Amino acid sequence: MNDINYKSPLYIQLREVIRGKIEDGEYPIGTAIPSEAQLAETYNLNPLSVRSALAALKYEGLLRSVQGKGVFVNGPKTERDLDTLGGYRQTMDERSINAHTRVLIKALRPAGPYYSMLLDIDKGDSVWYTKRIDYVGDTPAALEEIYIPEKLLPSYGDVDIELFSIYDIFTWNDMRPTIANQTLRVLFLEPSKAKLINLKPDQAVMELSNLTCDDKGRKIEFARNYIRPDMTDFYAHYQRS
Amino acid sequence: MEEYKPRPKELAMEYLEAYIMENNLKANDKLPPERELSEMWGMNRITLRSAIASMEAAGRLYSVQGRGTMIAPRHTRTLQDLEGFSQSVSRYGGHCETRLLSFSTVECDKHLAQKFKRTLGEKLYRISRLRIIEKTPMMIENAFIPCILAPELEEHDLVKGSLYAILENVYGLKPDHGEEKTSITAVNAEEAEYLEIKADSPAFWIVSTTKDPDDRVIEYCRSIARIDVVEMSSILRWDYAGGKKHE
Repeated sequence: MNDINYKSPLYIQLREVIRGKIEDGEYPIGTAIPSEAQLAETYNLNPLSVRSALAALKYEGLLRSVQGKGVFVNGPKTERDLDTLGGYRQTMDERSINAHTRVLIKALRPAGPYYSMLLDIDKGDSVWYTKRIDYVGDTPAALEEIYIPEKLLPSYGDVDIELFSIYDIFTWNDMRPTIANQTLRVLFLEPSKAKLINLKPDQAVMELSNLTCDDKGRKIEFARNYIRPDMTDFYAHYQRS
Repeated sequence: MEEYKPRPKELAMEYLEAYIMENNLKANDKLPPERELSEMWGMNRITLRSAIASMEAAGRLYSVQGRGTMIAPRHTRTLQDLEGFSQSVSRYGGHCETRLLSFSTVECDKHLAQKFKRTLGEKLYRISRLRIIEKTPMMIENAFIPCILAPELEEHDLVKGSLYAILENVYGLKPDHGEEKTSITAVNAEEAEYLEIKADSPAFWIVSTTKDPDDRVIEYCRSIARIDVVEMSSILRWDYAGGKKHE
């Protein structure tokens, strides 16, 4: 790509402009870039040239088009079939074609006395609080509440977590989850929460909580996952240590 | 980016959890009186009371008239330990008791034959035990062990001694690895009576298979555990050694 100059076709020039902005972080990973119409207007280009520029970058896997949402910057591919040892696995495959997630809340809040202790940060530090529902097809399968220290992941707010997994976001930011303490409980949810996953108040729910550390020993995430018991079983393999 | 403001009750529950953690409160330890906590945290008493009520409903706290609010006992069953129930309880300093509900010999049906990789009709010991900690019944374990691997198992004390210890020390059967499936079931009338809960209450349903170093199934166990006093824990590790690196 070194021999691009003012004589190069405009769509190729635009392609390199966008590539540059992705590399410089002006278009952060996991966020939407300006629309085709906006790009056409900014550079005074024919919409067809814009489309060609984007098509090439999508083909390379640098961009990803999402119906009705826009064009997003893709992160480096992460190893999806990573081996995990021990721990609970769900039979419900969160990567299955029909799985998707809907975010109810994604906002900053003060860590407060409890989450500061869990995540090893100061009481006044901010955490990203996420509340979302995981669907399998049209059925709500789980309600998730996630707490992530803001200072470890300042860009979290800009990334569309309905499109990218939090695991991806960690890896883009040089955080490798290495160990998680898991607790599995069965309990009854408050009616307001139970309703979100179509659970009757007298139906019990599985609660899987995870406190995850990365390879530098930092506590990067605390998550509570309330899972409809009819949607999944938990499997675990163990080995005498 | 918007700011999320936890509801007052939610926040009160966080303060309570933090207090329990910070002061390292254990089962049956007492919380300071409501008045004291609400003053300390500058919190509305009604809010605090409703937080405590929610945590009682969730089995985290319990109250006794005239004595105050206490931390509910909870037995944590750790997956990786592969230690028997009695060992894991004594490690946490609890007093544990076992009641032998039944001891019998059964023949492999189709399902059990598949589990053990044995033929139909082979004999299995079926040992049903009730586990009690500090007078609270916690779980019922129904273990199956091939008779051929542990002949005359009935001669051993399965109430005082640990089953795993007997298998290892007497029969040379080392529990080495295994797998476990956890889900929810509803208890029947008989199980409910043993566990001192209402019939049809939800309970943990745990099915585990334990193997020796040669991958031979030495025990297959179906357990039912109370959800209000038992929780499961496990450690998950990511293995990057085998994975491909990415840019």
